Parts: sequence; structure tokens; C-alpha cells
Amino acid sequence: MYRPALLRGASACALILASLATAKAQVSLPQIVVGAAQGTPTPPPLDKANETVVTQKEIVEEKPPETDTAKLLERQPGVSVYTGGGVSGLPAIRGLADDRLKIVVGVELHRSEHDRPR
Amino acid sequence: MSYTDPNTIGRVEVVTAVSSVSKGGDSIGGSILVTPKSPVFATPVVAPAVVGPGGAPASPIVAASPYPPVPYLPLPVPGTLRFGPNNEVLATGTVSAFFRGNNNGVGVSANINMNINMANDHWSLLYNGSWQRATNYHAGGNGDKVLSTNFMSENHAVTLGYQNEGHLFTFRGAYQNIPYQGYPNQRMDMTRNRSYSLDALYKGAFEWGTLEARAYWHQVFHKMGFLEDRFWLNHPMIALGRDFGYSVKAEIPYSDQDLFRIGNEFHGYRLQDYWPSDPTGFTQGFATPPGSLSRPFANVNINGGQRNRFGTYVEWERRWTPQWSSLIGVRNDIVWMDTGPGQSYTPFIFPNSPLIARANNLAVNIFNAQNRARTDINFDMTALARYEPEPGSLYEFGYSRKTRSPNLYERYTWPVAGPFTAMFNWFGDGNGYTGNLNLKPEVAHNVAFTGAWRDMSGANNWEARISPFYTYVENYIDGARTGGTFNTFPVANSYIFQIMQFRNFNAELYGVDGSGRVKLHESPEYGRLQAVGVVSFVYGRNLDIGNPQYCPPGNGLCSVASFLIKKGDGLWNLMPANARIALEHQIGGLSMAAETQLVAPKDHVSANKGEFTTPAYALLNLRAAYDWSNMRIDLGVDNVTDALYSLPLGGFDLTNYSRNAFLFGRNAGLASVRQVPGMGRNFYAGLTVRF
Repeated sequence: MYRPALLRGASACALILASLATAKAQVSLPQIVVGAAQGTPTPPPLDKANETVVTQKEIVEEKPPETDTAKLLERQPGVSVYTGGGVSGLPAIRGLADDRLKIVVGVELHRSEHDRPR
Repeated sequence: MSYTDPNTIGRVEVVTAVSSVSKGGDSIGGSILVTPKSPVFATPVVAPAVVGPGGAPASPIVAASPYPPVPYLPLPVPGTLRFGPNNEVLATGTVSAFFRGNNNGVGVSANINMNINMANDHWSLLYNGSWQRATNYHAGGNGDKVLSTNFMSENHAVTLGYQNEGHLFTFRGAYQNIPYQGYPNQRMDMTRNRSYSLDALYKGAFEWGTLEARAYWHQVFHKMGFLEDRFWLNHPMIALGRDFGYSVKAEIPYSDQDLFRIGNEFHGYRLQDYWPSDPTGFTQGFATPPGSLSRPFANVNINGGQRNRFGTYVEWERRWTPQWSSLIGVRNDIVWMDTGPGQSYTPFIFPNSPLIARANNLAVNIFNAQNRARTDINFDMTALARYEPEPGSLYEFGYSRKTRSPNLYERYTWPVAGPFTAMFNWFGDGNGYTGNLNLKPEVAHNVAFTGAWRDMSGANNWEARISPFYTYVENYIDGARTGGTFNTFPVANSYIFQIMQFRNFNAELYGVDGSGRVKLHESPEYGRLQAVGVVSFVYGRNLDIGNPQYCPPGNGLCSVASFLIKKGDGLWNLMPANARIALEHQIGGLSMAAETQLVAPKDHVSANKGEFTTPAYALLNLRAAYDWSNMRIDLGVDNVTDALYSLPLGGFDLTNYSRNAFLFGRNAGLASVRQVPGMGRNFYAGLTVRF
């Protein structure tokens, strides 16, 4: 059972080593963070008070300890997470959870969340 | 949320206060809108520059560090990997690896983005992949392993983007595989879960406004069973689900003051939920004598279930004066659902059929004789006023009426007897649930106020936000005790679980949450030191079920009286008052944080469901990260003091209870009844390489 795990771990290490090995001396350029803009030094305008946004910066910070996407939201005011499986917690906002929330992950996949817990 | 991995997420919008109708629909609470990482388009040949909001160049370093930058790293500089005869292909990406000490967790993830630029056509291809696994974690206080917290999961997604003259097309295919995942507060674990999805998105800018259209398809194969740390037999339960639909949204700036949003969407869902036949009775082990033919047929719970939703909304946003603006929206959702006839394990009764089988057989016959098609016509509305007296302070007041129709399980779960009902439980309370064909949609009336303030002096020294709210829910769907109970099969006279039926109640929730940030120090020599804090408080009660909370233990008369005067039982799984306070320090690429999480005791609980109270606790987390130009290292310790605590929303630790009951008998089982404990001290490390 652990053989595929080891193999995948090894190939991941190999990938990192490979990127280390492709060393080239080049001109320094600003880095690109794939997906979203970086933390902003200037304060953005207060246009929306009713929502908070988890940006790429926070995701990058919290990804190492957290295995579950729902857990990334736990630092937002009013958000808590029901314990489920290791990658399947159910988020709750202000005491209302699960189906009672609108959860759109790119597309809306709501009801299947319920196929899980048995 | 489990259908996506943290690695694939670009950003998440969390609407906690009043959510507009364009972000709601078929829900009564807030909204969580996850935007997956989208392909990045770079300008051809010229080196791409990172631009922050408002056109300001984003700087990766907060305060200018007096320390010279690291002179040489044996890595390619990010954003320089180019291919092709004219350098028209640009490759960027990240590769990360994680290690978590407490549960031997390992994970790897990768994002690779390829840009192809030819004349006006810009193509982009993005791959996101991740894999992770973990064993059972240890509870705090040098505690035992919490069984059924292990898992393995793997996610892959490929996104192809095409951009030309203000039009963007994206096609995304994703695959998820969860070979196993334990659920400590459920009767069974996930033993196989595969999901496939396809998604096409179009975004266009026109003279009249912007248009966004999307079509999607998603299929999941899902199997529950027992992992070996819970039980030695297996009896799978299978669900096949399919989602498909479209959404169209137009945003039309009518004038300088007025903005309209119009949208329409359809979401279809199909579900087959069944437990395969077991003619020999073998997988039940000692539960029934082999050959008793107790399960000759498959038990079909939801047979060809379907739920369809057709939603339409209009929203009008207007800025009346520079200070005042408003948002008004109305929405209609038509939800229609149906399911085929169910089938029990034993459509025929044998002389030695157990009582449970007879009861369920009767229930399915009654269920099948009824008309099961239901249509709900739901109306939602939102009204929001916004007042901004000067830049840096904002007040928002809103009201919303929101409706949610019951899901397929709430309406169509027909088993009524014994531990069968315990298989329909997503709460984690161990009780059994049975459906109700006569459920009405739940309607929430929500009022919320939000005040937000920010230092606009340029130094950005502080910000604060506070938001009290009140929600009244009509026809709140929750379990009502039927009077039926069951023990954990087959250990007799052990812990008593309730058999509940979904009914409509009235409920209310209120509370307040807030967040703040204060900069304590900033200088080139010492970097930036700031304190951030988040507080949340919510109180909720069921207005139709009594609250025996203040009755002395064992006083039956007081419990009965409390039910009669209808004082409001607690709602299930409300997080007690809690705060997170963190001190963050950042200098150059080095950032460090010490965070404490303070949680009050949970004492107002759902006595109806037998919810446990949990004591207060405090956790300390430390983390540090160092960011070079193309590398990032994360190191941290969660729960530094190795505190033993109960997760307030952890639910009943069923694996621990039933394992002890099976192996060591009734008394050992009863002695091990507890809330799921939280994770003990956890060291973790992460390494990310960018190119």
C-alpha cells in the first residue's frame, strides 16, 4: 500500500531536484505568483464591508499546516468548520453550515457533499 | 469544499453578512465563492511585471531590508523560462512539498503555467496537481491516536485558456481520487471516491457591459465502508451523483450611478444511492446467522433521485451621492425533485426475518405508494444601504430574505428502523435520521450591520471591522425525536442513540464578529511588527424544542416542563465564542508569527440531539517562512503546548466508541464516549520552488 506513496514522494523530490539542477545565471526579474496578485502595500478602498477575501498570500501561508480547503477559511470572522474527514470538513458561517450556504467551487456542486458522510 | 485542494485555489470570497442575490440562491446563510487558479496570460517577449491593484507596482518586500539580498541561488530566476524560436512560450510554475509531523502527513503539489503568444492570440495552459496522505493523528497531552482521521487524496486539473481582444475562453477538466478517508464522527469511512468534472467558461467585455457564461458537468462515484482501524468486516454503501448545469450573468453599467446585474442559471442533480445485496449474510458477521437470507436484494435508498433548480435574478446597484449607495435585488428559484420507488433488502418477509427488516419493509411500501414529486417556488430578496462619510470609514446595513429547498436525503430517506437510519447522518452526532416528504423549504430573514474603518494616512497603520447580525429562520429543517432509539449494533444495552425525523421548526441565530489589525512598529532596521485579531460569537436556538440545559441531571419532570414551555434548545454545532490573536513580524523575505487561539466553553448545546458540552481551551501556534526570489521555506508548530482539547464542532467520536464496545464490551464502550479530540502538537515544514 505504501509503495505508490513512496514512489510519488520520490518523484516529487526528483522534480524539485531537477528544478534546482537547471541553474542558470540570468538577469533578476520580479517574480510571478500564479493565480492572484500579491499583498498590497497601499490600502485598497473600502468598497465591500459584507465580505472578506482569502487571497493567494494567505493560502500560501496556511497551506503547509492545513490539508483541508475548508480550514483555510477558519481565520475569517464568523467562519467555523465541522469536523469531517481529513480533507472534507464542512464550513459554517455564523452558525449555518453545509447545504445552508452557497458554496461555489468554480462550479456549483452542492448536493454531492452529502454523499460522503455515512 | 472537499472537491478542491488548497493548491488549486486562486482566491476565496467569503460573504458573511448580507449576501446579494447574485451570490446566493437556494441557500439561507452566507456564500463561499472559490475561484480556481486561472491561467496567467503574459505579454509576449517583454518580461512580465507584477502589478498590484490600482496599477501600483507590487513589492515582495515590505520594508526595505538593510541586509543585502542573497547573492546567488542555483535556480532559474522566476519568469524567465522561455521556449520556442521566438521565445513565444513562457513557462512559470511552482512545485511544493510538505511534511506534517503529528500524523506523518506528506504532500506534494505543483502548478505549471505555459503561455503561448502569437500575434493577437494568447493561449495559456495551466496544470494543478497535488497528492497528500496522512495517518491517524495524535490527540494532545501526549494522547492516543484518534482513529479514522487518516486519508489519502489526489487532485489534478488542467485548464486551457484563450484570450483575444477582451474575450476569454477557459476549459477546465479536473479529476479527484480519494482512495480512503476516515470519518471519526461517522458510522463508516470513505473507501473510494472518484470525481470527474468538466467546465467551460466564457467572459467577454462589450460596449454595453460584461458577460459571463459557464457550463459544467460533474460526476462522482462514492463508496463508504470500514477502514481496518474501525471494523474488520465490510459492507459497502454506494452513491453515484451527477451535477450539470449552466449559468449566465450580465453586468450592465447603465449610467455613472447605476449598475445592473441580470442572471439565469440551471443546476441539475442526479443521485443513485444503494447498498448492495448480501445474500449470504456473511458481511454482517455475527449480526444474523448465515443463510438467514436477510439481505437477498440491494437496499435502494434514493432510486434515480433528481433535483433541478432554475434560478433568475435582477440586481440594481446605485450610487445616490458620493456617500450613499444602495443595492436591491430580487431572485426566483424553481426547485423540482423526484425519486423512483425505493427497495428494501427484504421485499419479502420470511418467518425468521428480524423486526427491523419488517419495519423497513413496511416503510418502503408506504413510501412507494405516495406521490414523491415536489416543486418549490422560492423568492429571495436583498436590500443593502451603504454609507461612506469619508474615505476610510464605511457602514453597511442590510436585510435579506433567503430560501433553501430540502435536499434529496431530507425528503426521500425512507428507512425508519434501527441502525439503518444512522447511515443518513451528516451531522456527526451518531443519531439516526429519516426523511419527510412533507418538508417545506426553509426561509431565513437576516439583518446585519457592518462597520469598517481603515487608516487612510498612507502608513496604513490600522484597520477594524465589526458586524452584528440577527437571523430568524422559518421552517428550519432539523431532526425531531421520533421516540425510537437504537444501540450500537450488536452490543446490547450500550449507548442509546435517537432515531430522528426531519421536521420544520422555527429557529433564531444572533451574534457578532469582527476583526482588526494594528501596526506596532515599522522601520527598515527592524521590519514590520503588527498585531491581528479575529473574534466570533454566535448564539442560536430552536424555538420549538425545549431547553433542559438548566435542569439538574436526572430530573425528568424539569426536562418535560422545559419542553412544554418551549424555551429554545441549542442548535447543533455552534462554535462557542472564540478569538484568534496573532503577532506578525516581517523583515525582508522573513516572516514570523505567533498566534493564539482562545475558545470559550460550549455550554448551550442541542439536548435534543444529545450534543456534548466542551470545555474552554487555548492553543499557541508558531510559524516562520523565508522567501527568496524563487524559493520559499515554511516551518511551524501548531499547538505548541500539546494541549488536549475537544473540538467544539468535532461531534461524537464514534470510531473510538464502537471499537471499544465491539472489542471489550458494553462498559468499555460507555467509558470511551467522548467528543472528537483535536490534534496535538504538530511540527510541519514546507518547501516551494518557483520558476
